[in-house]
Amino acid sequence: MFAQILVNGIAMGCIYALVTLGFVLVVRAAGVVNFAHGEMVMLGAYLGVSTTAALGLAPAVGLLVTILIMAGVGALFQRIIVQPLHGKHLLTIVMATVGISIAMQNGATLIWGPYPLTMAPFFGSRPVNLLGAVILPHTLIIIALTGLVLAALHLVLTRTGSGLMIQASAQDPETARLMGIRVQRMNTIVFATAAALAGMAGFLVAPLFIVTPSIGFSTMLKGLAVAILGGWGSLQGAILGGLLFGIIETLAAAYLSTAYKDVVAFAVLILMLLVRPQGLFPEKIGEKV
Amino acid sequence: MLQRRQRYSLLVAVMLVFTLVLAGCGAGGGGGGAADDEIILGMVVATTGAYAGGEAPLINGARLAVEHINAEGGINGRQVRLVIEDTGSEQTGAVNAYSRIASQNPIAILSSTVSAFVLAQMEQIQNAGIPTFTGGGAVALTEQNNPWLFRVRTSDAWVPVAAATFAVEELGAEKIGVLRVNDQMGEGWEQKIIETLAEHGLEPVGVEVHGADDKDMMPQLLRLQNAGAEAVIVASHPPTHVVIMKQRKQMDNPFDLIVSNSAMLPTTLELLEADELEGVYGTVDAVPVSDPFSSDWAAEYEERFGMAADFSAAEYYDAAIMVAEAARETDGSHQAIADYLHGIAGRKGMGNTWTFGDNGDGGSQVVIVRPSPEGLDALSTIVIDR
Repeated sequence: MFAQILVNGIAMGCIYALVTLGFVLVVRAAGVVNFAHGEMVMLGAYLGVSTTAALGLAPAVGLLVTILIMAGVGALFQRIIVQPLHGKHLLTIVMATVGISIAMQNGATLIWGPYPLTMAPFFGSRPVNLLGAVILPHTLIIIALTGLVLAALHLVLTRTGSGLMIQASAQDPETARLMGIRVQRMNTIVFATAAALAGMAGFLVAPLFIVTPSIGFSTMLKGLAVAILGGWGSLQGAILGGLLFGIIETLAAAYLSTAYKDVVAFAVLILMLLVRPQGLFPEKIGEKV
Repeated sequence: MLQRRQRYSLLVAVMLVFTLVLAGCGAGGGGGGAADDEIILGMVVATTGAYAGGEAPLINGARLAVEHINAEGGINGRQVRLVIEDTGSEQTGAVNAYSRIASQNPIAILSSTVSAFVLAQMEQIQNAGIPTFTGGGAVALTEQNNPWLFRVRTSDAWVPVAAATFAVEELGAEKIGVLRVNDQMGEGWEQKIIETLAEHGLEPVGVEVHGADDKDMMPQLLRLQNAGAEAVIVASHPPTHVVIMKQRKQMDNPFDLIVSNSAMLPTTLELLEADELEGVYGTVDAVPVSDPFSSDWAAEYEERFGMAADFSAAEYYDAAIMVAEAARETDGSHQAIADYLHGIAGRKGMGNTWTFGDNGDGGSQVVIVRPSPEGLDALSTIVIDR
C-alpha cells in the first residue's frame, strides 16, 4: 500500500509543481499573481480532449499541439491583458486576471458544453504492477515528463542567453532595459512558458481527473499554497514544495484521515510558515530589487 | 483619441462583456416581464459553473414540458414561457436568482437540485408564496414543512436505505464500507446507511470521506479494501463518481460499488469503459427509457435533445406538467396550485410516483440498476408505502 500511495502522491506533487512553476515564473517576472492561471490548466485539459478524442491525434502529438497553443494563449494574455495594465495598481491587475478567469470558465462552457468530459490515458487504462504498487502507466508518464520538462527549464534558465535575459529582466527590469534587453518581450516569453506548463499539467491530468470548466480553480489554490511553502518566487521551492505537498496530502489521507487530509497538509504549511516564514527556498534579496 | 493602452483596456472590457453576455444567452432564458397572454414558469438552476452539467437535463425536461403544455393550448388559453435564471453554481447566486425570478410573478419556480442552495432560499420561498420545486435529496428540505416547497425527487431518507438493503440482502455482503462526499448530502447518506446496517446487525467496516474538489481517491479506496470491504456504498457527485469507478479498476480484486443517483446520469456513464462498470450498481428514481409508461416520452426526449433521458429530466418534466394540470383544474392562484399539489397521491409520472402529502415530499420510488454501455438495467423497483 505504501508504494502505491507514494507513487500517487509523487504524481499529484508533479502536477502541483508544474502549476506552481508557471505561477512563480509570472510572479518573478511581472510581479503579478495571475488568478487566471488555474484556467490555463483547464484550457490545457480541454485542448487535450479536443486534440486526442475529437481530432484523433496520438497523445504525444496532442500534447505537443496543446503546449504550442497554450504558449500562444499565454503570449496573447500578456500582450492584451497584462502589458496594457503595466504600472497600474496591483489590485487592478489582480482583478483583471480574476475577470479573465471567470470569462475563460464561461467560454469553456460555451465551447465544450456543461457536461464533464474525459480522455484516454497514455498507454491505455490497464494498470501495471511496479514493486507491489498497481498503477496506471499514465501516472509514470506524468512523473517522467514532469522531471524532463523541469530539468530542461532549469537548463534553459541558467545556461542559455535567453534564459539569463529572462532572469535579468525579472531581477531588475530597468537595468536590463539599459543593457539592451527587450524586457516586454522577455515577459511575453515568461507568460507563454507559464501557460504552456499549465496547459501541459491540464493535458496530463485530464485522463485521471474529469474535465469540467471548474477543474482549474482548486488546482490553482493548491498552487498558491505550494508557492508559499516553497518560498514565494522561488523556482526550486515550487518544484520541491509541489512534490512535498502532494506526498503529504496523499500520505495523510491514507494513514491519518481522509476527512482531514487537507487540514493536515495546510497544518504543515502553517507550521512551516511559523518555523521558516520565508519558505523552503526563499528568493534571495539580491535577486530582485 | 484613445491612447494605445486605453484601447487595449477597452478591447479587454468588450471581450469580457461579450463572453459573459454569451454565457448568459446560453442559459436560454428570456428576461423581462410576462405579456398579458403568457404565463411565466420560472427556473433557478446552474447554467454556468460546477453544477451546470448536472443540471442541464433539468432544463431539457422543463423545455419539453413547456412545449407539450403549449401544444395542448397552454394554460386556460395562455401560452407558457420558461424563464431561466443562473445560480452560477454558487449559493449567493442561487438566492439572487430566486429573487429575480420571483419578482416576475411566475406561476411556479423549478429550483436547483443542490440542497444547500434550496435551504438558503427557504425564507424567500416562504415569503414569495410561489409553489417551488426542488430535486434536492436532503432530508432537511422537507422537515421544515414549508407549504410552498415541493420535492420532485425521492428523499435521501429512503434512497440510502434502499442501497444498504440491496448490499446486504441482494449482494449478500456483510462487510460494507461507505465513501461519501464531505457535504450535507454525504452526511445524510452516511447516517441512513449506518442506521440500515444496524437493523441488519451490521456496522460499516469503514467510512471514508472526500472533498468536493478532491482528485485522487486511491487513499480512500485502499483504506476500504484494507478494511476488508466486500461492497462500498458511494454518495458523491458526477465527476468524483467517475474518478472513483476508474481508480477502483486499478485495484486487485475490487469490491462491488453501489453508487448514488448522479453516477447513473447518461453524461456520467459516457465517460466510463465497459470494464469499469463491472460490479457497479446504482440507485435512481426511475429508468424512463425502459419503463413502458415513459418509454415513448424518453424516445421523444432523446430525439429532441440528442441524449438519453434520465430520471432528473423526467422529474422536472413532471413538475411542470403537474403545475399546468393544477392551474387548469383550479382558479390558477398560487394558493390553489399549492393546495392541489399537496393533494396528489400515487400519481405515476415519467420520473417517479408522486405523493406530496402535507410536507411536500413528492418522490416515493427507488430503482436499483446495473449500468452497462448500453444503458441501465433495472434490477428492482421499490415504491415506498406512504
